[in-house]
Amino acid sequence: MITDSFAGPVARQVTVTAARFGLPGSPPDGPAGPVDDADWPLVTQTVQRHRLTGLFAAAVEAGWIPTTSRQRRDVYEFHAGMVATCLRLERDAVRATAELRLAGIDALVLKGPAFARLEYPHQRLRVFGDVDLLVRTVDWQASVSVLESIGYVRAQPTVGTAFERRFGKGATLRNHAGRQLDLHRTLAAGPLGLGIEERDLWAETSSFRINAHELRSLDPTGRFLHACYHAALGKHRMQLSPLRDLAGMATNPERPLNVAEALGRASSWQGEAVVARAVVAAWHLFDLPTSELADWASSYRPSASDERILRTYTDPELGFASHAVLSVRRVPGVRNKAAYAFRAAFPEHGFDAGRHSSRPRRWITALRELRRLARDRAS
Amino acid sequence: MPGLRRNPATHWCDLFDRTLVLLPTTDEVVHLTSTSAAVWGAFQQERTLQQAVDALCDQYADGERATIEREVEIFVGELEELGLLIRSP
Repeated sequence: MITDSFAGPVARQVTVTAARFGLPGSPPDGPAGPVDDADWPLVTQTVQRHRLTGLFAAAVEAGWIPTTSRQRRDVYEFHAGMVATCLRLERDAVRATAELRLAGIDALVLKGPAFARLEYPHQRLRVFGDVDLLVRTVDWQASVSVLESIGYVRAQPTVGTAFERRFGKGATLRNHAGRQLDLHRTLAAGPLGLGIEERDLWAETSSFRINAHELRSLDPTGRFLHACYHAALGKHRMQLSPLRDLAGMATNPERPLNVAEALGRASSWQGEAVVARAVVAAWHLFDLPTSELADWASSYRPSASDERILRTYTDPELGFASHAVLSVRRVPGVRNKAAYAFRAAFPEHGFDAGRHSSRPRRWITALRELRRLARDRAS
Repeated sequence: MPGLRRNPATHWCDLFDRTLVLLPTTDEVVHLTSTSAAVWGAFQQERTLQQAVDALCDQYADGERATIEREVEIFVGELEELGLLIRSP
């Protein structure tokens, strides 16, 4: 189960009420009156941390969350600040995809800007903090070069150029203003990312517009699965925004999710445990009406191997080494396995900066992780 | 007569009674009031000032033509200065 980590009961109640806005079923029990001024800063911090300012503002407008006039002004101000950031990021996305297109490279917009336009009734309801673009493996190196030519720089050194292109999830870049663009080759790092079929991501796509510009994203099934991967995989605090994304997609009466197709694709990606984990968490948190998908998720029992893989994404004590060991099994061919293992053990110069103080320290951390993984397996 | 139109490089979002607009050449975001946003919206397609006034008069049937003309004059200058409206060559 994804753990709940709200700072206090009032912040939890208000944030979940906001996230619940627009979903089917009866409205949750929101606060009876305006939030106490002493609790208000924590409430607004929590809403912003979960990137829910749009739904929060809408829930306030609709009277689901009573506020004082000063609190209402606050809501406008901090949501307007988030929307301003989103406008800048949308322009970044438009510019980056246009430059890539000029170089003959297709790019799909993932998550934030695409979800805001394709999955919500109005873009202002879904805010985001960065741009995510997906390019094909074959275009990886050229895409990095194009983005660097328009001023983006890598936020971190690469583990290895060939490794990144063949096995990596992607790279984080920043522009002169410090805004982030995550360039993806696939949707997840490690063994789960290696299970994702690239051809599935590109076979069907959806178009959407950002003002005068036409962009493309994953098809509805791909967007749903990506929201599940985003919601379920992470060692940090649970984020409500991806859970709300997937709940909205799975319960949209105007465009019902093709559950059979979603589960079929999840199965071929060896990611059913990821989908089950995300769906169970969303249904539990938002108290959604029962459905075929929810029934499947609550009765799904992951294999021991799936559980072990999932743990490498969610257990703070497991990381790159356990990912590497489990990934090597999914990499086809002895040569490829050897290349993967070598680069995981000997990343390019500079990669460990900020992660490990030295290469021996990296190996010690790896040994500790592997011992933990072996213990888990034995138990 | 040369017309005016919205700068297609503009990004914007309606928010409550305001419209947030990212200026085309900087990272600055301005908040348009509903009146200035309505004037800006009248130039979604290329129009002369007179055509924009006509369109706004049709849209706001209860508004006085003289008032609408005055507001168009005021806001068009400001919107053009901000780069949100551009003149056709």
